[in-house]
Amino acid sequence: MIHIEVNGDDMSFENEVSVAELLSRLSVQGGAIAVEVNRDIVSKKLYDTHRLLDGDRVEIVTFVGGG
Amino acid sequence: MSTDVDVAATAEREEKLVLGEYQFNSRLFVGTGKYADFETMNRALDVSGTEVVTVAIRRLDLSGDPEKNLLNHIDTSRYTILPNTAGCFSADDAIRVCRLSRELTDAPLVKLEVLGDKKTLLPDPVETLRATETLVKDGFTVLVYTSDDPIIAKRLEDAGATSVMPAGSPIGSGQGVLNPNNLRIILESLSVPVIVDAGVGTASDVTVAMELGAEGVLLNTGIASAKDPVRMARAMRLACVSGRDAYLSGRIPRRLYANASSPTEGTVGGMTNSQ
Repeated sequence: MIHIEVNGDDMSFENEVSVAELLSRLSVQGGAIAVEVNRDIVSKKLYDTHRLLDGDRVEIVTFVGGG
Repeated sequence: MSTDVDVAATAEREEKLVLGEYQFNSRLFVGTGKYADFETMNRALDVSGTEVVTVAIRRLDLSGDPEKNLLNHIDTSRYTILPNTAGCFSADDAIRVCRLSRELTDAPLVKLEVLGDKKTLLPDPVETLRATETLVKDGFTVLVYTSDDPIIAKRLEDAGATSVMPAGSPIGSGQGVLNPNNLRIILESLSVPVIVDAGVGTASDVTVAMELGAEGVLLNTGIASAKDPVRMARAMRLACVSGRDAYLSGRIPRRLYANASSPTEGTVGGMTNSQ
């Protein structure tokens, strides 16, 4: 069992997951988002290969209305 | 509406607003926050004539409806997205958000704002300058929000900002341009485009800024929180064009005494001032 913090919430998984697998499990479309793991940006082309480890802190961000 | 078309056509004949590699016909930048719904926002953006819309970056709502995603409702082939760093109170946080923004847009354009506190939302000049220096070195096209202080404005230009954007008055306050003299000094001393950002309450505020010689105006609340945002968007567009035209036209000097518009010679019955 591994624990990952996603947008401030704890999530647990049976096994290691890639960023792509995390997004898929969260039903997040890959388009208008950016992903950070432990404050480093993970570019879209690395979603499949970047493995998330126990204790990783993930931020998934998007655009919202603003001035 | 034919007058609107004429006005727009006149505006388009003018020189474009150039910000680094970007060029725009419209000098009005409009925010996407605070609208009642996406339909109202889009109608207001359309009527405003803007080509640049600001957005904020936040955590994705993981339980949210994808239909609520802002980018599903903005025509990115029509509008240039200008991501802001609203909510950042340190240079490090703002730089982090800018890097996320570049990942999202695949473009270097950012509106940098580093605020001092939540009550005033006034910019923190030290952190703003520090973030500008780092972001410019990192290849960003930095449009930087600042106060109307001419010295810090100049320092931001020296740091490589593409545009310096002084506040007319505090964000969302609707107080208009509180210190036109400071804006005039900034406009005289900077070479980069100066865009007045924040404080616009109504159309005449936009005109005042443009008549002073600002290259553009950025606003959000003035339109979004008006009772009729779409009509206010139209007013803001016309005000921006009016102010620009008035600035370029070269206004008459202010005089203490009157100056007759009609001929003073040949008045009926030979009336003169001396009689």
